[in-house]
Amino acid sequence: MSFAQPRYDGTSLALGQQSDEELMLAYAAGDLQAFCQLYEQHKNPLWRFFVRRGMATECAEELVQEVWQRVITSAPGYQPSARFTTWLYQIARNLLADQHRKAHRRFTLVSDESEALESMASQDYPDTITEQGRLALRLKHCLGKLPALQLDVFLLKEEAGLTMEQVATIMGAGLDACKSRWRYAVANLSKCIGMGAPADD
Amino acid sequence: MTEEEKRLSALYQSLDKENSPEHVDARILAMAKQGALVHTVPLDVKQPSRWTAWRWPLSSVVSAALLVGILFFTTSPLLPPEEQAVSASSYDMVPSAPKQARREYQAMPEQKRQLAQSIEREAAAARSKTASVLPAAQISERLAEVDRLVASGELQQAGTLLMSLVEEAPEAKARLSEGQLALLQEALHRRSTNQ
Repeated sequence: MSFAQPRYDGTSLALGQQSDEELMLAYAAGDLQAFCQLYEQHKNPLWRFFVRRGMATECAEELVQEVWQRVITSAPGYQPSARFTTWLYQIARNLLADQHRKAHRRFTLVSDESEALESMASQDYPDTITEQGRLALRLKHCLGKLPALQLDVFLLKEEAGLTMEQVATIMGAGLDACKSRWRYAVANLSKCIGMGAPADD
Repeated sequence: MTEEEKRLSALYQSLDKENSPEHVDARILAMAKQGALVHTVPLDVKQPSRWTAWRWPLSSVVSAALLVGILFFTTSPLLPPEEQAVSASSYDMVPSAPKQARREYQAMPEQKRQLAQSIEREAAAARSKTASVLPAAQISERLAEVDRLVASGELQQAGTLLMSLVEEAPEAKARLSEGQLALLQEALHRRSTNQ
């Protein structure tokens, strides 16, 4: 996978027309506006990447700040050898792994959670919300029950909008393995919210 | 993408979008501002010392001077031009001479060799002296003058002129007519009897 390597010339393009990599180079040259635009584009998807794992708000805040701090401190030596988004989520995922190690948490396998997933499908919700709203609420709960590796693949694809190749790069895993995790995630979520049959990883 | 994936993706995108808290945004943008200030400050720029500033020009000048010096001493003659010419001619003579003569020449002691060189120089000078200094056109002009004097009856004057011409340009002798040769002999005889 290769990317064109942009060079920041300081003036050429309006901020709205610049790629993430060009914005990052502009910020590395001292252009704060470039960072503001970059941050505006990525702040909410990154925030949701943390909170939709069921993480406490304080913890998510801490991790989000840590990610952006690393981006800021790495700016002077930034080389656009890969997409900025891939790099950003690689930092985020590394921090998550550190967090898990510190907390002595283990990634759970889907088989361990099958009962919990099934129980979500049968959960009752108030009659006042629509069917779509009920499914959405179920999905939120089910995401929290999904195994970490499947959840990572699902969030990176759906939230960050990355391709499966980019997801594989971030996960440090093979493309086939990531595709497989994606399929399991979809099957498990569908089953959990009552849309299809469950799958094992 | 399968139907199931599409439906799930659409459902996920319809979820409420939680946004990054404003106080987190403010903190991160403040960090970025500080970072931007740091990025614009040049990193530890030291004033170059005088030696560092002049290092390249100086070393270039010294190198050029050395090169010129080497070229000068390797290409310029050690002897004055006239001596060098003689030395070159004598040097040229050695390899072109017959083997025995060359051996004799090389076997000569230094003094003898210098003497031989000086004799050679004198002979060359004499050769150059005896060599014609008059161009052919001038010889023809003089001979025409001789003929004109003979025609006007001034035989003695014509003989003197002819004699001086032959002394100046010996090769003119080959161009003399029988009458002119007789005139020359008469003039030479006259001079010898006068002396």
